[in-house]
Amino acid sequence: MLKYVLKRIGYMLVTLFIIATVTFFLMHSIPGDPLGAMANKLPEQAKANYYAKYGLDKPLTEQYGIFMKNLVTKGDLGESLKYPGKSITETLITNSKVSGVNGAFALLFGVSIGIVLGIVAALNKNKWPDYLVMFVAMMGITIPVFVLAAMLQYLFTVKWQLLPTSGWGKPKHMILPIIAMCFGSIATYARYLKANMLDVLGQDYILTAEAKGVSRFNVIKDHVMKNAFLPCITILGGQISGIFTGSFVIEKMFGIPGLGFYYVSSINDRDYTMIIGTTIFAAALFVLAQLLIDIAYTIFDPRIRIK
Amino acid sequence: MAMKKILAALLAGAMVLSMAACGDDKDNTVGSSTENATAKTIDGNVLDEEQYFNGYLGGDPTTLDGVIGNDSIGGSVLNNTMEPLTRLAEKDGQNIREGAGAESWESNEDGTVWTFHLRDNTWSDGQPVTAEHYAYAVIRTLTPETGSPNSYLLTCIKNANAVLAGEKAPSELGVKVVDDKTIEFTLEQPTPYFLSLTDGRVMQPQRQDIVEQYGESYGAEATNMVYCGPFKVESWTHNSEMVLVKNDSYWDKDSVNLTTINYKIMNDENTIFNSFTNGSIDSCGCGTPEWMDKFGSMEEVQYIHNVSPSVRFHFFNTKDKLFSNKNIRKAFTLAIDREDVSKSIYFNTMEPAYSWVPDGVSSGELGIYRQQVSAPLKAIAEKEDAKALLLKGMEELGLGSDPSTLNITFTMGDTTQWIKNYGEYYQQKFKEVLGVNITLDFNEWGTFQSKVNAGEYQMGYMVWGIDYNDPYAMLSLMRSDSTAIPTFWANEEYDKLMDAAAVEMDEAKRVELYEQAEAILMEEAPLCPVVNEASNTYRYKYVKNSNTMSFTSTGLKYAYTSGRPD
Amino acid sequence: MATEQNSFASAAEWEDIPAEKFEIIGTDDFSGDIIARPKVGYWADAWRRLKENKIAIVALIVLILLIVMVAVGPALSGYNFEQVDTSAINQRPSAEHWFGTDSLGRDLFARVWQGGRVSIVIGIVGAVVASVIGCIYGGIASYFGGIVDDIMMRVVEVLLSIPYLIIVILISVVTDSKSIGTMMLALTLTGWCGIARLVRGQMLQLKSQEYVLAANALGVSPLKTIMRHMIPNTIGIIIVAITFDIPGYIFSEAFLSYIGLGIQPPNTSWGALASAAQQNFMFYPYQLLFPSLMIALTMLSFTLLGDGLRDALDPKLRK
Repeated sequence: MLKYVLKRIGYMLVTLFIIATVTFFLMHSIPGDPLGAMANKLPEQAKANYYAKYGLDKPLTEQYGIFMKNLVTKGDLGESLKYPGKSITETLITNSKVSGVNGAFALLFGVSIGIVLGIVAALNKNKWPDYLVMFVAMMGITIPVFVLAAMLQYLFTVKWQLLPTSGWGKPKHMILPIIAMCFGSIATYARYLKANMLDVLGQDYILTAEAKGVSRFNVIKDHVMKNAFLPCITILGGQISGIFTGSFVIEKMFGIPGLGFYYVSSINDRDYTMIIGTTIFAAALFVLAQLLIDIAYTIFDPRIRIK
Repeated sequence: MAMKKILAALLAGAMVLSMAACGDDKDNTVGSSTENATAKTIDGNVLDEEQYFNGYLGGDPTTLDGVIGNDSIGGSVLNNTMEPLTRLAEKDGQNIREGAGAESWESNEDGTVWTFHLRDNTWSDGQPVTAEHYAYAVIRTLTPETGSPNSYLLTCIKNANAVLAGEKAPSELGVKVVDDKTIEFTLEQPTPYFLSLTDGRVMQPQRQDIVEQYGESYGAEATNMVYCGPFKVESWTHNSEMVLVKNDSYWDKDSVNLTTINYKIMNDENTIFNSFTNGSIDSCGCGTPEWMDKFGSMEEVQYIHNVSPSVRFHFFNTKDKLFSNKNIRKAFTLAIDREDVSKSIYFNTMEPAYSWVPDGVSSGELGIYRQQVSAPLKAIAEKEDAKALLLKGMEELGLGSDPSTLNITFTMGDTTQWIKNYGEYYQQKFKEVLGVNITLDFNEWGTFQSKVNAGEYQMGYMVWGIDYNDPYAMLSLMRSDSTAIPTFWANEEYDKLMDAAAVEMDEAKRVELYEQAEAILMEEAPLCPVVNEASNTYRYKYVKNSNTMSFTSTGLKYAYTSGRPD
Repeated sequence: MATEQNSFASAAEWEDIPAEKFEIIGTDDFSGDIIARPKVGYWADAWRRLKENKIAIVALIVLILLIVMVAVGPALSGYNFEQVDTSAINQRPSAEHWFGTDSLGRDLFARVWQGGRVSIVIGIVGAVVASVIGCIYGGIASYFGGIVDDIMMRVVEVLLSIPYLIIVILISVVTDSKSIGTMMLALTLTGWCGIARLVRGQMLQLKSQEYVLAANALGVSPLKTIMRHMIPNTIGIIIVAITFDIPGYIFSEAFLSYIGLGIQPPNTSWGALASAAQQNFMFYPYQLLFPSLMIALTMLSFTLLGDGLRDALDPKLRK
């Protein structure tokens, strides 16, 4: 087990190194200028001074060397070009926390509701509760999130004036974003769990258990649930890395200081350091989540053993 | 009538009671009930007991370091929290320059030496504000290692260019601290518009000890700074909210009424409009006709319309074969029906522009420039025809007489829905009026910049906001040595006129020089102004004494609320 | 015990039956091979079972209708989708303009179907291209196994961990265009990774199945094993993955349109129409309704059809 984990971590580091390198050179190959909108206004001298300050006048390979050295030795991703004096590493930590809190709640609600709906649907296959549940679940994935968020905002903040339009820091600020975000998860989990449960319900060991006279409740509790949940680990793992990188649309519309918003705006602002930092961060989360999924499988699924 | 009086009396009674109640609640924290009872009145308005303003910022300020940052959002916060040498206040629809950090000022005869006498002001940490602090900020802006994007504004100061290029030491700059309360600027040459720089961020003081203490992160957080303006930043949650509170160490704190300013940081237009509708913010800017109608119909809302000193224009690549021809450039300038653009594209939220220098810009003490010099494009449009000019130009270039053989690329630096509609409008109109084909080219801003700077475009679209309140700020952009708008247009006579205007201290003569230069510019047409931006601000009527004019730089210093509903 | 006694008893009775009661009828050489039910192929069986699924069939019909409308719709209203008419801006749905007009007075009926072309093409082509690449890649990785598999899967991991937004922006900048082709390239550049993983996993699982083992032991050529056993057992999940991926691509395009990186005018898409209308939906709800409804219908139909196909194509569920 330990050897396996160490090997995987080794792979992880190689992956991250490649991503850091590729993003670095790709970002610097994009035309455009971190000075952005002001660049045309500035005389050459002012631009030269600005570039010199951020080391952008050095040859690219040298910039890369400096960047890698800081990253490896200090975990330092540099300073934002758009927001002077703002450390990327700190920004990532602060903002991913906000996105994380929001996303975690959305995922929690999404998963719980989705699972309940999935179970209800599976146990009432082809009866009205199944159709009702699946209809509700489907609604969530058929509406683009920017449309859903706009409607929620209009209804709750303007029409009924129940909730604040935007902001961050109080529980009431989180309600609408969470509703808007968890819709997708509800649908995903309800559908997924329903399919898995039906699959498991058809297995021989369920038949055996029922033949032995185990009550329906206990069959579902002891045999169906565990086996039906297992495949959910895969999607859950994929989403966990996503909750920290946040949702651009939601964060923009509800004024949440999360990472998703920064990320997309940094791309538009050509804030090189910020883009590279976020990309590495997102990639690191992703590969870490992959590792955790695999470990979780070996723990929860007796059929999988590490060779 | 009697009913009304009784009602008013009852209301007043209720108010006194509620005030007293509030006072009791807060006895141990602020003030006392007796203070509250004698409510303050300004211009006959009874001030609300709780004085706060809920506003919004259209994005996170990049930094509150006034030397390093140059975004307008950070600028508006700094305007409320720092004290520049002077401020432009509003009085009877005119902008009046009043002393702020400086009590008085004077210049020598030819306008090359300016002396400012500071008043007693105190930083939020208790230190006195001295001339040293103003000088430090200016010197820091002009030190090459700082890499300040604002340095170009101060190049009129003696030796500034040499210092920026690293040829001279910053100590050789024409900035002199005479004593604690006196600062003196020596300029490279007479600069008539120098005073208009003194209410901006480049003339806000900075503390060397604080800047050095926090280093790179000075201004990146609310706590990494000290303040000397009417307000100070109490908290700043990046990309979410910023809270300003009244600065009790401010010299003119008695004129400051608001105790708190809550800024929500909002990026989404719909969110902003929704917030204004439900009253979570007190004021908002709006350029969408549907929302404007909605806000306009709200009785408790005041509408403030202003022409902004900002031009939206098309510009031509004079290195391009087609647009090297003056007549063709003029044809494309005159082919635009500016009234229709203003109506169809901007739904009358912007003003048609017939000149390069926008309305609202003042020429020194003579007042608004546009009121003295009429817009040149109107006269040109009256005597010339776009299609005829195009055919004439095509003939001169040997391109035959069929405009439909022309295919012109129109390059834009944005990818939003709006700009797409904008481009499509012109695609159709140019086809209609001139019979030419237009290819639209939408780019990310960065790509756009690289393209136009490299001259890889034919016709482009840009917006330019004026840097300081003088026609020179607009006209100097088109000097042959300026790279601001890459039309590659050069005109010797124009350059000469600009050189002369730059040092002309006689205001009437200067206006004359500007007028001649602008006429050349519009006749040669390397660029074509389309509309002047206008700001449409909606503000709840209970907000009083807040600025309404473009160049006003008093921020929320004098603002207060009266009659804010609970 | 009782039965045993019984059989002994009957054995004794045999002697009483006269020999002439027996007749030789010979042997039937073929009847052993006759199958009671007619032979039903994999596809025919899948189709039969899909037909039984009413929801999936309704979804299929809706999809066909949508595709037909997208093909002919833009020509039906008599308006060109890019024709600007400043005298008829923001009109409600009427006999003149069936879906109303937008802020430039363009006919929304024509625009919605025109936009549908882009959205559906992006969805289908994107998913198919991604699946083909993913199949080949995953197939190769699983077939060779070992170090090849290891390296190929590492590459997938790297690609998957780069946010696709970065890739979209990079591609559009590098190729200096924002055409449908560019966007498709950008979306599929990493889009195939998921399918590749899926195919590889399925193939690996199949490789260790008993019937594949048996085929190998009997000396069946690898190609035949792949054609006969591996592909039919994988194709089902691939088709299902495609139907689930199509809505994903349509959504991605909508998101890109929202942040301004989507399809460029004069062309349009459902995503672009919806994001443009979202700004003003309080005032012109119908401008948002129609493109959103089409997106929702498409998403719903593809998902339900995918569900139906999954049940129909799963060889384990064959009866």
